[in-house]
Amino acid sequence: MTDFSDATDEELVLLSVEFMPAFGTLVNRYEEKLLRYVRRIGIAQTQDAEDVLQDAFLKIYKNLRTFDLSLKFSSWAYRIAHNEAVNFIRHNKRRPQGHYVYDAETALGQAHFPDELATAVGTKIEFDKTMEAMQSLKEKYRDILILRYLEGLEYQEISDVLKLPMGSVATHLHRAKKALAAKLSYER
Amino acid sequence: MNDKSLSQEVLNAIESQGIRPRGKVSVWAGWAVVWLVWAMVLVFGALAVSGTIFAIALSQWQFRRITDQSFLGLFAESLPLLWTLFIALAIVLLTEIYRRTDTGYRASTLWVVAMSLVGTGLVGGLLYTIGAGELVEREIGARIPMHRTVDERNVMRLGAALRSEFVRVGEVSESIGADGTPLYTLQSVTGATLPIHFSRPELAKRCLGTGRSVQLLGYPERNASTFVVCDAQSIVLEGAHREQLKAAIANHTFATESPLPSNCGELYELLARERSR
Repeated sequence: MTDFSDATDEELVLLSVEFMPAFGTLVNRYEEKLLRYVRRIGIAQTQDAEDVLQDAFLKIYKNLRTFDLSLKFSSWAYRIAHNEAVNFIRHNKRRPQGHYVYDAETALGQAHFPDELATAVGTKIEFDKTMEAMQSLKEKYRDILILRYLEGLEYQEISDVLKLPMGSVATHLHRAKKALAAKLSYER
Repeated sequence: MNDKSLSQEVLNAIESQGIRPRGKVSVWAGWAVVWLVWAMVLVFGALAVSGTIFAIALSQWQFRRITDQSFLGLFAESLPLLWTLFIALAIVLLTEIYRRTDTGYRASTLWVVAMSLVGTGLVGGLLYTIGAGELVEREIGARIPMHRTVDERNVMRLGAALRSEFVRVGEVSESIGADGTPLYTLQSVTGATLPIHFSRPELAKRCLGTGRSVQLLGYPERNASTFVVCDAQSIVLEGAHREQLKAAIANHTFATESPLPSNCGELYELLARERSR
């Protein structure tokens, strides 16, 4: 089997158009990140999240020729996964299904000693509160906070995922932080 | 499901459902439609701009001394319906079409608005030079409810408040009137001869070229058959426009409470009263 691991994302996109197995490398490269992302924005059930992600990858494959090479592939993939997840949530007329526990469990899992464990438990409690508050925010604020602080995306990448001008990203982020701070202080 | 199996499932689904990347032609056609619609919006906006340029050019700006019309007022009067309609359309569609393309959202709203204004302005200027402005203002504008074409506005502004005469200059004979000022006799479009005085000598230069059509604004002198010209402009009288203007002026009657002016000052006052009513 051909090894495409050295190829860049953009090279893989061009290759995948003609040679489908190359697309498998792209899927491998992004499935973990995107699965975590769709769960973070509100699809907590693993099976649902995987179905959504599979649809997202099929859509990406179908639209490979429309990919604008001036974008980063990761931004484009995030955007499609985001849209699929939002559609799924709206179609099923549900509120986001609670927050994704991965982040808090990671904090716990990384603690080895009693002191660290106590800190980690405290961190988890804080984290749970923060995530609950985040889930109760407006969708546009919640998404931007997740992309910036949990996914670690840059402003330009967030702009590309959410299709917002850069200026709006900064504005939304500022408002989102204020809204989150207000929720947290109210809950305390 | 582990990571590997998700990847494998995706590849299996692609194979079993026979999914293929969209063809080049289909992608190209999608883009072509987007940009075609964008170009059409630009052209419509530009047509509106060319109509506005035409309206301003034909707005009898020469009479501003009489009509007390400021350029800003004139501009505001010329642009309202068609231009704002199409500019708004251009901005809305640019926002919808361009900003929803793969990278269009990177453009700020200000950029989209500026593009609409500059794009329609430049293309509009070009279209005006090939006569599109007249088509928009006189043909399309006349069919839009509530929209007054520049001809209608001119008739209302000048014809309603002033005495107006259309004259095609034929034979011009010059003599000296009783008060010692030059007296000219012109032949009007109706075939009648019109003895006129000019309130300002420089007005004579505007009117007295043989074959020229002019619109004279002024008043008939009391107890005399002469017409005193307060202002004048060259005009192009063609086809339906000519008949429309002639009919509008011919059917006009002064309001009964308005006395006929006996000098240019009274004429300006009369106009001011008419405007304020």
